Amino acid sequence: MDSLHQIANWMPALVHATGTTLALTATSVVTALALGIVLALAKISGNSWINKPATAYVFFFRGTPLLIQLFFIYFGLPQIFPELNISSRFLAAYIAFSLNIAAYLAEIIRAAIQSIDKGQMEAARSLGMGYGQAMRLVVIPQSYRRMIPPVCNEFIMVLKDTALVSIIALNDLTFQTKMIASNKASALVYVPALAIYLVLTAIFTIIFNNLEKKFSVYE
Amino acid sequence: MCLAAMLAFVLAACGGSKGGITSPDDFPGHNIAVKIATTASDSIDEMIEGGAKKIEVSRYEKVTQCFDDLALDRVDAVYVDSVVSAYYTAGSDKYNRVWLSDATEPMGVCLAKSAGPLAAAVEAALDTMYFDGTMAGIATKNFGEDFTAGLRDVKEAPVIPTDFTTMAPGKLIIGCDVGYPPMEYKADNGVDFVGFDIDVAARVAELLGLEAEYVNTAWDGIFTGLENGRYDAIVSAVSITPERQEKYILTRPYVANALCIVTKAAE
Repeated sequence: MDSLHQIANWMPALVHATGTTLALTATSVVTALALGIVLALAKISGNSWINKPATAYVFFFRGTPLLIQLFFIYFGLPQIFPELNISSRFLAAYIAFSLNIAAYLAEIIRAAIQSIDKGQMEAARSLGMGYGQAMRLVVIPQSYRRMIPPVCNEFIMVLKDTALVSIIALNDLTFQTKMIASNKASALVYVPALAIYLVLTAIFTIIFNNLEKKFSVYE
Repeated sequence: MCLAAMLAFVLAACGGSKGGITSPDDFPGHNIAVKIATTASDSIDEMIEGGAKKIEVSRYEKVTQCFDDLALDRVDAVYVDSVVSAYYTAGSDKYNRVWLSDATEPMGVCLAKSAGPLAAAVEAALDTMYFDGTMAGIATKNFGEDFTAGLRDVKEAPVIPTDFTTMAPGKLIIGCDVGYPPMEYKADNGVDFVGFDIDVAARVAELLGLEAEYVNTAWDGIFTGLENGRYDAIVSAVSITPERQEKYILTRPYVANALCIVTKAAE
């Protein structure tokens, strides 16, 4: 009973910190999706002025650790360019996460688009559609269902990767958990923290499963 | 376009608030950087629990990050041990120490309650270092001045007991959170551990006829590590507090320390 009482005491702080975790995950994934679609289309493009920079972007952000990107944006960049001093930790984390996740999402989206049978594009073009029209109306809608499982996977990874922001003193769920654990010298706090992460993951899994069902009508 | 929007966002977010902080009473309305789970962090928590409003606390795992943030104007002050502030303010006009607590917080070597005989031997070794002057030498080398002066008055050469045991035969395993200059930090090559505590622990081990081995541990888990038997002793700028004395053995003070506030000097 005593432990339950303790956990109840910690809940307000943990729930508050969960807000930061959720806000960071949601905002950065949404931004990264937009950026990822642009990058994916750029990578598919036949114009090397367009596909080379997109390839380089993905190469860089997928090829370096998110932790170092975050450190670099928050601590490194302002030392090189003083005008890029981001005083908001959340903003710094949001930028680092968005840029990084976009690289992964770009590859997921590109793979999904390219997995659609070439005949679909050819058929659309032979009906007189332009490239953009054929992509928008025929190819991309069919790729939705195929990209949902890996995007869901990525989303859940991001939810947990946000734990990295504790290094720039942003008060997310993991940071708050560690603070309570060290201040109160109690490892019991890991139990509600695990439970909160599981609940969040469960919610998003259900949402993405429903989305997948909805888009399955195209297959 | 996306990048341009971000840049505009970034520029808008520039420029933190500056203010004249001259004591902890001025903390409300400011952003204060502390290292997680330190006495400074606890003291600020007590202020907040006691009703102090609008103190924004930035808690970092490493004290070096607190000073990085101060240098970039993202926090208004760093609340920190005076031994550390000396490292940043000495020979530099970039930072000012604006306040020093009256209550001192000297540091001791921390051991598990079960390690009584070893604690006695460590205590005697520290006394020996005061007696033969090696402590003063180590302090002057690392701090530029002697923060250990007057802490212990040892008139006779101490006898170091030999009835102690350590976790590994012939070794004294030391837990320390490397990244707390000038107490324990990495040398310029980024590999070797250097600093006051490192030198003290090496000399203590030598006096005990042991070889010092260092285990680099995150500060917020350092006491748990001691409880779990990962090292014989913590020599890592451990301030002596009643709470810690209740749970562990702390030697008498070996280096003087107090809490202090460091701000960035006006340009």
